[in-house]
Formats: sequence, C-alpha cells, structure tokens
Amino acid sequence: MRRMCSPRATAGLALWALALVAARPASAQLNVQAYSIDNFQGGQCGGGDRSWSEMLGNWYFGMTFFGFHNGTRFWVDGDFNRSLLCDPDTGLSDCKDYKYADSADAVMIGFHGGDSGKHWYGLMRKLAADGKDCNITAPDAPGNGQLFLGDVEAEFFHMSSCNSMNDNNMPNTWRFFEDPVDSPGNGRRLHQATGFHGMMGIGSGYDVDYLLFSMSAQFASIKDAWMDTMYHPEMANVKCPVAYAVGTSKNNCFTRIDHESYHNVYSDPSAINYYCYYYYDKCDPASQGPFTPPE
Amino acid sequence: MKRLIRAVPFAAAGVLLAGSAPAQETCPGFRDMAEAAVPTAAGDREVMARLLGVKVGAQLSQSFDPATAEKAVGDHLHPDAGCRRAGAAPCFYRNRISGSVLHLKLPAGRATYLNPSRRFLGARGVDNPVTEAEAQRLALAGFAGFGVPAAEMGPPFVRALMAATQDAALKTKTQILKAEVHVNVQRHVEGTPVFASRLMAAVSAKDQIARLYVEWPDFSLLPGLSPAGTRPRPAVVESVVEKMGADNPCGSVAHVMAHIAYVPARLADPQEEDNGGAEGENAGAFVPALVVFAVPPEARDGEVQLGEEQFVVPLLTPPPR
Repeated sequence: MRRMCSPRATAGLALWALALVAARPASAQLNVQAYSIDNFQGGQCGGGDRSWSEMLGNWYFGMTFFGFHNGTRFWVDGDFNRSLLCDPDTGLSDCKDYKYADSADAVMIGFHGGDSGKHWYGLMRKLAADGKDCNITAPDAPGNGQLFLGDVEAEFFHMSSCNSMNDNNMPNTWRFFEDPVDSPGNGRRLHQATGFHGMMGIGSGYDVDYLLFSMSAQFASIKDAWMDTMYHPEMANVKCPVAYAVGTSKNNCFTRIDHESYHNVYSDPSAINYYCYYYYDKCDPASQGPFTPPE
Repeated sequence: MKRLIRAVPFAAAGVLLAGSAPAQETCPGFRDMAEAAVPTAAGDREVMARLLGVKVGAQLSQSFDPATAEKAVGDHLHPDAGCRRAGAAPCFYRNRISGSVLHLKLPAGRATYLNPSRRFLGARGVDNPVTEAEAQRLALAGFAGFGVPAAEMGPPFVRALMAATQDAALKTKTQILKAEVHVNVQRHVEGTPVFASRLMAAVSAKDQIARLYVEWPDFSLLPGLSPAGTRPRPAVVESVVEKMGADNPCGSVAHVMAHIAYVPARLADPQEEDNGGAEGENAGAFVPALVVFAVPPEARDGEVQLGEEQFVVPLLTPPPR
C-alpha cells in the first residue's frame, strides 16, 4: 500500500500549508470530493483496471491536506454505479447525485469514458438498479441524459476520463451544467468543467500533474492550472486537456473561466447563454483527430 | 461498498517486479506485443553500466538563485518570513501587488511561478500576437534563469493555447482566439529521458512569462545499483506481460510502447515509496527502468474508450536494504 507522506515530509508540508493559509485571499473553504474506479474487472461492466485513485488522490491530497478545503469523500470502487452521478429529475429512481457528485463544491471523477458522437458517457463498475445500465450519460438534447450538475452544490467538475471534452461535443457539454428542472428556479449551476479530448493516460507518471494542478489552482485560474499541468506533448500519444465554462454572455463566460480559482469563486451563472473553452491548437491524441472547434 | 472519508486511498502500486518464471498464460497477443515493445537494450549489462555511469553537472538546488529567477520572469518577489535559503522546507516568494507567487521546493526540484495579473483575457476578444519563436526564446531564457541545467533540456514543444466561445443556441459561429503560447521541455541525461521531470512556460500577450513550472529533481542514482543486477530481457518481458494480463481483459490492448528512462526510485519500486514516498530519503534518486504504455484500441461506435495505461518495470534488481 502506498503512503503519501513520511512524518518528516508531513512536517514540511504542514509548514507549506501554514504559509499558504496565511497568504491566500479570504474565501470560504470548498467541500471537496473525488470518485474513482480502479478495479473494473471485479465489477459488472467490463473495462481494464487502472490506478485512477492514485492520480485523484494527489489532487484530493493537495486540496485537503494543506488545510485549504474540506475533503469529505473519496470513493474508490465498491458499488460504484450511476446513482452517485445521476440526477433524480431524470425520473430514474436510483439517482442520488444530491448525496454524492452534486453535494460538493469541487468534484473530480476518474474512470473510462466514451463518446456517442454527441455526448460523453462514463463506464461504471456496477449496474444501475434497473439491472441494465452500466453508464452515466451526459445530455445532448432537451429530455435526454442523466448527468445534471450544479443544481445542488457543485461548482467545479473535473473529469479524468477519455473523451470527456471531445471537440465534437462542445456544443452540448453545457447541458450538464444545470438541471433543467431545478436550476431555473433555484439559480444554481455548475461553473466550470475540465476534461480531455480523446484518450487520456493513467499511471504513476501523472500523479505529480494532479498534485501540481491542485496547488496551482489556488492562485492561478482553474483553467490555467488544468491546461498547464495535464498537457503532455512529449508523449507518443499526446494528452489533450480542455477547460470549459458557461455564462450569461460571451464576456461573462470568459471572465469566469479566466479568473475563477479555488479561492476566487464567483456566484453561480444566472443563465447559460454562452459557453467558452480553452484547448491546445490541433492537439491530436490517440482515438480522436486533432482538436477542431465545431463551427 | 467501500466508502473512504478523509484518508487518501491508494491502489496497489502500478509496478511489477516479476521473477523470470513465466507468468500465467495470458491473453493472445499480449506476449507478442510486449516482445515487440521491450527494447533490445533491456537486459544488456553494457547498456546498464553506461546508464549507471552517467555524470551530471550542477543541479537545480545548487544553481537556483531567487534573484536570477525574479529577473527572468520580470517580477519583484519577496520571500515569506521564515523562508530559509539553504533549508529543504518549501518557500513562497510573493508580489502582493500583482498577486504573483513563486513556490519553491528545493531540492525536490520544484519551482512554480504563477502570475495571475498576466493572464489572457478572452473577454477583450484580441489574439495574443506573440510568435512561437519569440515564446520559445522567452521560455528558454526563463528556464535558464531558474537554474535549469541546459545540458539536460530536450527539444522544446511549442503550441498555442486557444480560446473559443459560442452561444448555447448556436445562432452564431464559434469565435476563436489565440490565448497564449506554451513551451514544454522534457528532461534528458546523456540522451536518456528522465521520467516525470519537465518544464513548462506560458507566454502572455505582452511577451511576458505568465506561468512557469519546473519539475526537475536533483539527479542522482539510487545507491547500490550494479550492472550485475541487470534483469534478463525475458524477465522484463515477463513483467510487462504479467502487468498487462493483470489489468487488461483480452482484446483490450492494441499495442504496447516502451522506452528506457531514468525513473524516480519511488515510482520504480513500491517498497521505496513505502519508505518515505515522494519526500523520503531517496526522493531525488533515480533508477534506470522501463516506462511502458499499454494502448487500448480505438473504440468502435457504442463502445467505451479505455484509457492508456502507463506503468514502470524495473530493469535492475533493487539494491539490498
């Protein structure tokens, strides 16, 4: 079993934490949660095993250990099915995102993901209560999809999953930033999501990326921190991060994505009229073509 | 259900040190893929002797100077009270007016400069005019100013960061802006890549470094390694096959890529990580090892895309403890 820190390191990190806490701008601590699947082969839905929890653990550790934010849940494997991520307004009786993925301010997920051609979907470890569905599915049109975040608590949603931000899905990605039933009434919406165009990588070499992301996003914008730390042009299979936000206008959207950090959190978008995103020019990962924004 | 709160869980280490005995027979094709991917240099004592005989010059903890770094990024930064130049404790330098910070963690080789006041502002709707050549020049000067040994820097990767926006109703066309130019550099020691070490700089519209990351731990080899401990190539192949078979269902790997690199000892030996992890006694120590990527096939319609698996296989038996 891996350990994160030796006692000596812990003392050093505590000093660092003290320095950070003393200097950061006054703002509320975020509620932080992470959800990952490492062991797919022991589940019911197929897929290869990956060490997602190590990578997410570094982000969670960076967010929580230093004392900035409150880590309230780190879920690994177990009965991981769509109920942790799907919204009850879908009409699906097992959906409880209000207790899980939509119950924290900053959430990171880690598991395999696919692209329908119009939306991302994630591979779960266990079947849903209906005994049929092994996926969590993002919406691509009014009336479909299961993933609707932000109507309860979530502001930042980090997707460590293949195809989670594919270029062709940009026109529909904003649809999971709100719950069409609850958000118009309560005004609550997701602020920003981050993910990958095409195939991403999982392994020990990426652990430091997730740690640096958590550190940098306390000072720089979350978008900048994600893009800076997750891009790997030096690899044979390039890794292509994307950061995405919404706003009432073009300017509102860019202002949000350019300025929001974990310690500079804006109020929820009052409507989604525009979406905006950052990507690497012509970034060409395995399993997808070069990133090309849809017209 | 395994619900973990507060504690950070870690899965079994993604590293396998198998003996030379054949692994349990695995999926068709896995062994052929591993055979094709493992370089012939694996198992070669002369190659291992060369890799263990490298010499490096001054390392970051010796060459880094806060004043030079400050000049390189064109900022005025002041150390937090309690920063000790010679100490190993992390330290922050700050410009409280601009909000910029320089985080140092020497000798772990980490220096991170973040200047939010130089961020790209998409709302202005203006392209960043900086050219790739200019960005590269600025970035390389910045890395040099941070004390990164020039001899260890590989060729730069230069790429534009783009911003795009569109109305949700899709009534207008996507507007695209060039936001920044980013320069990434991988590390090499005498031609051999150094795993998980890298440099990155983001160049703003005003030809300034907006952010700069140095992940460049002081290089030293783990004491006690010897060419006599070279693992035979068949044993290395067997380790790759075993790891592939343990993690991947049959048919879920399209091909395997592998290369020899200097790998932080904590990533190449789970026991090393247990003996202090990233901050342990040998935090800066490296070992020659094989970095492996198991690449899944491209998903067909309706199939989920499996992620690329990266793991490390030792090329040398660990020194006795």
